[in-house]
Amino acid sequence: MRIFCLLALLCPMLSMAQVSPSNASLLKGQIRAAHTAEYLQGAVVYLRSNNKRTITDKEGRFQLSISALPDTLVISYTGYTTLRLAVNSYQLPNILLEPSAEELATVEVQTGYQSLPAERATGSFTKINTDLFNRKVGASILDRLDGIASGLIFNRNRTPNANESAIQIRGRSTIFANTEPLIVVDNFPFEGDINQLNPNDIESVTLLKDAAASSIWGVRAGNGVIVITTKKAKQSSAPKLRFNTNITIGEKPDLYYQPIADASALIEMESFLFGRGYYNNRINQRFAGLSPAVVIFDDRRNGRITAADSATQIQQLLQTDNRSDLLRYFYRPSVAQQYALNISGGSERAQYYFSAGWDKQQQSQLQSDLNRFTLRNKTQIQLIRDKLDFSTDLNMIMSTNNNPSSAYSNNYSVYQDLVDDQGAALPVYRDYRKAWLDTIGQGQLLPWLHKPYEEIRFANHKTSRLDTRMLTSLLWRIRKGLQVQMSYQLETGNSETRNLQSMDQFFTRDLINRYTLPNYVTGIPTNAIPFGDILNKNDQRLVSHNGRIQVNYRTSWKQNHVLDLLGGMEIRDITIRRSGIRRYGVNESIGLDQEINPISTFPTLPNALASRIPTNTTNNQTADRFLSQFMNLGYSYHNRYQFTFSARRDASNLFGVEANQKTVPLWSVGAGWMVHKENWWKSGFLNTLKFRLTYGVSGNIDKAATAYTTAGSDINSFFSQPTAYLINPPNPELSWEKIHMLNAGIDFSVLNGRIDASLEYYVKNGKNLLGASPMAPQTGVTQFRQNIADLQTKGIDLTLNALIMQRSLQWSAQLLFSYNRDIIQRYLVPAALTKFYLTNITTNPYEGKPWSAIFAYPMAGLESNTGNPLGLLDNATSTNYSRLVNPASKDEFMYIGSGRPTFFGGLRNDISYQGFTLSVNMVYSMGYYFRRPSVLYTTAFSSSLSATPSTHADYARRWKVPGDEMFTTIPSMVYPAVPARDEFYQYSNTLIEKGDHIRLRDIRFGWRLPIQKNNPLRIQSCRVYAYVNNIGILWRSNKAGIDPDNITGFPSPRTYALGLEIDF
Amino acid sequence: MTTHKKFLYLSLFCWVLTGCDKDAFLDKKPNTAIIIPSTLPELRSLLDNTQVFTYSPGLGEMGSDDYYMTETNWQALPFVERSSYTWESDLYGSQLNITDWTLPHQQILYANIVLEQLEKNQPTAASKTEWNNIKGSAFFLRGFAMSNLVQHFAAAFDSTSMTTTAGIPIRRNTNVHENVPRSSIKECYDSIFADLIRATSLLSDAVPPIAKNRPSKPAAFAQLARMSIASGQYEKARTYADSCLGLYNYLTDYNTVSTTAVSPFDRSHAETIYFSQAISEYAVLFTTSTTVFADTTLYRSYATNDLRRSIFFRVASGSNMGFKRGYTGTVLPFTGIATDEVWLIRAEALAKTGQWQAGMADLNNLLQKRWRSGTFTPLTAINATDALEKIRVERRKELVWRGHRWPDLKRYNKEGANITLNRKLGSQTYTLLPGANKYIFAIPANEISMSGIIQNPR
Repeated sequence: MRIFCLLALLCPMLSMAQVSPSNASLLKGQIRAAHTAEYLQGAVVYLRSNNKRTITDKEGRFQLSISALPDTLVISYTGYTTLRLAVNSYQLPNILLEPSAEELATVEVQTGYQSLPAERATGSFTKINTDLFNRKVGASILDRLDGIASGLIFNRNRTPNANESAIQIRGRSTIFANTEPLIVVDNFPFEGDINQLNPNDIESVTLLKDAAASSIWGVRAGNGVIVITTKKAKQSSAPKLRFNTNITIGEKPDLYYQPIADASALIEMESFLFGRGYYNNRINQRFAGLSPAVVIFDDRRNGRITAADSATQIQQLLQTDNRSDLLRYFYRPSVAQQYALNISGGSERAQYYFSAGWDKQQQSQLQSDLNRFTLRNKTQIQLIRDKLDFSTDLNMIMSTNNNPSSAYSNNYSVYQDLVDDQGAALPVYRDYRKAWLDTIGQGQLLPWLHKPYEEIRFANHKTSRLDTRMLTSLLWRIRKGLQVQMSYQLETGNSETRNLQSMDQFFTRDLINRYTLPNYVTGIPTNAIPFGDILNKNDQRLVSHNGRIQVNYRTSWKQNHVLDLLGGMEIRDITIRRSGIRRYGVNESIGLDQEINPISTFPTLPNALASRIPTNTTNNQTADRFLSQFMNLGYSYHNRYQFTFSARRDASNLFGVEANQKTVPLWSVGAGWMVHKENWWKSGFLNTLKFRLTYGVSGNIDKAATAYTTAGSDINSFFSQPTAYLINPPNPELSWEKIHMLNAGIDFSVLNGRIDASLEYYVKNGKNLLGASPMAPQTGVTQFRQNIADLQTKGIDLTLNALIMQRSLQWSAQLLFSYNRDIIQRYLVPAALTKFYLTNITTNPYEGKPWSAIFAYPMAGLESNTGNPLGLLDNATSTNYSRLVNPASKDEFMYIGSGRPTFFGGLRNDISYQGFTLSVNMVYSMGYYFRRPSVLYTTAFSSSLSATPSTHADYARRWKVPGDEMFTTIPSMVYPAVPARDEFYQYSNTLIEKGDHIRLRDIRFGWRLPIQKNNPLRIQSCRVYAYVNNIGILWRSNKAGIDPDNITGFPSPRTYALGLEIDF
Repeated sequence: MTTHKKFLYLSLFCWVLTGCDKDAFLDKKPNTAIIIPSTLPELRSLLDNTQVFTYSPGLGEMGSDDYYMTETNWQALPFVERSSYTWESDLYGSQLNITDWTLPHQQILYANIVLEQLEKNQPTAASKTEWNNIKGSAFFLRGFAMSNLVQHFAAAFDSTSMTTTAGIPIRRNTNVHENVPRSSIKECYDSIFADLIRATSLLSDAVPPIAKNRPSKPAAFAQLARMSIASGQYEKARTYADSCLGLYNYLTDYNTVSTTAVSPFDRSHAETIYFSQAISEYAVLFTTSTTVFADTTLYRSYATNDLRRSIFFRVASGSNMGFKRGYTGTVLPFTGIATDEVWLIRAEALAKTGQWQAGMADLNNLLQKRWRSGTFTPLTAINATDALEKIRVERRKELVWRGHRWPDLKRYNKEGANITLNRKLGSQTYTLLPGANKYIFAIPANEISMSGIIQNPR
């Protein structure tokens, strides 16, 4: 009960005057802003009874003579809600003024070095506040930004091995250097896994998109910065307790999404290849695994089974589609539970924030789960009142993650039965043939069967992590406007991955068997690998020290000039040590393992090859060190003209360039003009108008590029000597990448603020970017990094907020629109072969086209009598594929377009009515293309050889007889397969699709329960919410039913969540 | 107040002080796994890299007549293996990376880097031997790589046209920005000989008993002998073979070798002087293949009591014979140097230089270790031509599936042997005429487009 009273008393909205007998005729008080705790100078204060007025002084103090009690005090101040206070005493406690809605709209943005009102900023920021951030449900932080942050795109359909980050701010700014945006948590770069943080602790996320916003981060800011700010307690607030829990259930993955050849098509192909002798070499080897159909064909050919048996067995395969078994036995619905609790409160001089979170997830693969605990404690203390503040922030994250995915990585023929009718695991013979396994070893070997369904059960692959982050900070307010802040952060991350593969698992039995030498005379085999489990253990230990000293100075003169200055130094040292080891003959229960001989070679089955026992020992340490100086200047005149300047110098220990220890200077300037604050401004249709313009230089680093000859330690040679491999031949001319960025923005609002918009145009010029230039093989290297490229990225970001309805039913909408287009402006070295522009564009940029450009060979349909794809050569059709896929000039192929969206954004509608809220978010990606997979005979044939067939469903729809070319563009099957013919078809324009699509990303429904003020549980508020994610594609341009975000793999399954949030 | 100020200034001062020792702070090595190779062990570890060194091209053996295939099995092969078998003009099709060309050049770059770093890092008295050894190794490895390139991508040595025929680019420095045109055959051979001769003066005398990837003086002499007969310089060949055998001449008695083992020899076989094997790109060359059959005439030429019949060959499928694992102990053909080759080189050189009886003695010395004990009667010859003929027949039988047949065919045809190769696939017959352009493999397309060197006509 007392807590409740205290709460009511201290809650800013309800600040009450206390009865006090002193100063009977003089009413004294002090006024502060509720959200910043700053004293408010110039607030108008008067008493209702006599209209006596006064204005607060610098410290927000006022006094008024009062004749009688009770009375009502009225306090008003521009930008704040007028407060009417019943006066029952002569002395008042601190009075806190709540900012008005308008004032709130001018949000503060965080750069990691300072927090400044968005209004006063000249740069480009996107701020995601708590409510918007919590709109999505889930354990991952970055996922929550999808579709709500302007200029941020998630690259879901990345080219394998291409240098491309999963998230990207305003498109590309580099070709081969680092593409990841810098992530900053509570003012320091975050080195661990960002998705380990508890999302319930996040107060806000700010994207720094242009040079003025980000250049203070120096060499790491080239890809933009994501600044995450965590929650802290407000000054003088009563203890608050918030509890949030939710459960998310996800559908099983859609295994039928990928079009693969069905049993009959696959068996038809295998039968054809068998007839042509394609499998002879493998069949003759006796031991090598074959697909079930090929085994039947071979048995029939050798008379081991009758024609009738063969027909029955094939018939049985034809009726099998193991995807139903996979769905039934190998996958389950995912379930994710989240519990989060936080308590905050404090007095005027000390505040605390404590939070705990528990995430428990069961993923759709069996045995795959995640458990995560997070703890956080933040304390702020005013050591010396108004002079010296001290704060500490302790974070701890503990998680364990089970991951049996290796049991899922094998592919089997679609007709391969994995589980029998009784639900028992069936063996597959993909590695070794049954006939060989039946005879080899004569009982001297371990059982050598591979039963995938059983494997999953034995999986014991666990990653445990412990991450801590400790931040201490001392803020000394030397005198008004001058502060010195010293901060130190220690971050550690420890992870241990243990993959214990027991004797029950195929991997272990297989390895032991392969290193066994059966002795058919004595019957006693020789084992090179001891019996017992095999343990792979990988440890990683990260320690990061960050220190910063920063001076802030703020001054104003003649009422019209305001100057903000900050400057400081920073030191960073990040050490990561990784080690990996494999143990053999492990007996976990007694904690013992056995030594093996890692040096000698042993004869192995089935080929009697002399091999060493694999050891998997790794050990290395990386250290990144930085020394930096930075400064930032902000000047504002009449509150309507702004000017900013920032600069930074970085020095690092990276091998990088020879001159890297000479500092890299980076800088930016910016200007802003708030037109609506001009004296001549008349608010008509246009309510507010602001122009912004910035220009600056950020940097980017590429740890791989170095000026020196470098080499890496390699695995030991055949002859047990330590070896090294060349990483980089000498490269003295290397220099850092720099990104020049211009940003111009207009912010305006119309219709009394019902619609506000922000439109920005930007140009990023990456100069002297590193390029992988292809080298003539005679040099001994095929690729080499040097500064040879210029990349320009231009774009527009538009954010439009509209308050459509503002009655009891509130309806607001946000439209995000981004246009982004990059062009390789200069690339000094042409691709080694012209065809690389089609096959490997991401490493062979094409001057004048986007980084992701898609080119294609023009294909003139199929030849009517053969079903051969027809290329065009000198205006005539051609089937000279070796020539067609080695184009003599760039004129022999055509430019299709960008491979990444050029227009993208989202549309979010939020509707609320009496405590009910509904939010629907749609996202769209437009203006790009992708290559559709189809049947390629070379790979279809060779994959059927390894008993893991991956034949595209197009196989069944291929050209078969003359006339088919009228209906199909899929080439006929030829034997032997011609790689160049496949390659021509694969990169022809026939397989190009438009990627444009609109997706209904998610829907959230919330309900704030009506709660009586004095309920027995002392609940302040209670909200329940439901959330559906990955709902589906509303419209797509391609007719093939392909999700352009998931051309390979499976689309993210739909998830349903239900949650509850209570404040006490 | 003032104490706080003092404390703050003090800590600020400390900070600046520590900050001043900037160089020490920034000198920390960024990654323990990355080195700037300069010390002798580091340079040695570059040369010991058996992913880069100890590999030779495989195209030659694929084009040779040591093996044959049926049409059905041939069709099941990847493109380059198929087109190699039928000596197509378009050898590589859409294949991009031709390791036969790129890997030897990578070996040359490694050797050049090591040579460059050695000059920057002069030896002390204590390290002189190792320094010499590493330097000698780099010269040997560069010479060995260039020998392989010349034999595959350039015409057979011909003293009349050697200054006008294109060899390969000769790379002498580590500057990857510099592309070098093809030098003449003469310049290439001069360069190879120069490298190997320098190696002989630097390398140690002993052949390592285990680490056969490390060059030794006998290896350098043997490679000199090999390149001497490849260029028809038989006098030199005899001298170099002599020098090699003077240091190391061990021959294994095959009566001590298992005729049933899948791998009769291991990686450190005693006859091996320098270890190398064919690149692993081509499944045709694997000694596990069940579709690649040894040439039947060749197989039948081994006498019943010749142990090599069962040590070199195995049943591939049915009654067809395939090749067994050789001196590599792996599935790849051995392309390194072994004493048997050096004995044969000396025998051939002796026969060519008027001492054919001595040549026959060398040959018989080898063969008696290859025949079942007590069954061998020494071969005799009636004259130099006959001796040479017999030595060359035995050379083919001894060095089968070791990458020698292709350069030998080039060399014999140059001397006028007029050997025509034929392949039959179904009803189709393919022919390779003596001295045909197709004896010289095409340089990969990316080399031509990047450096603009002259392509070999095919």
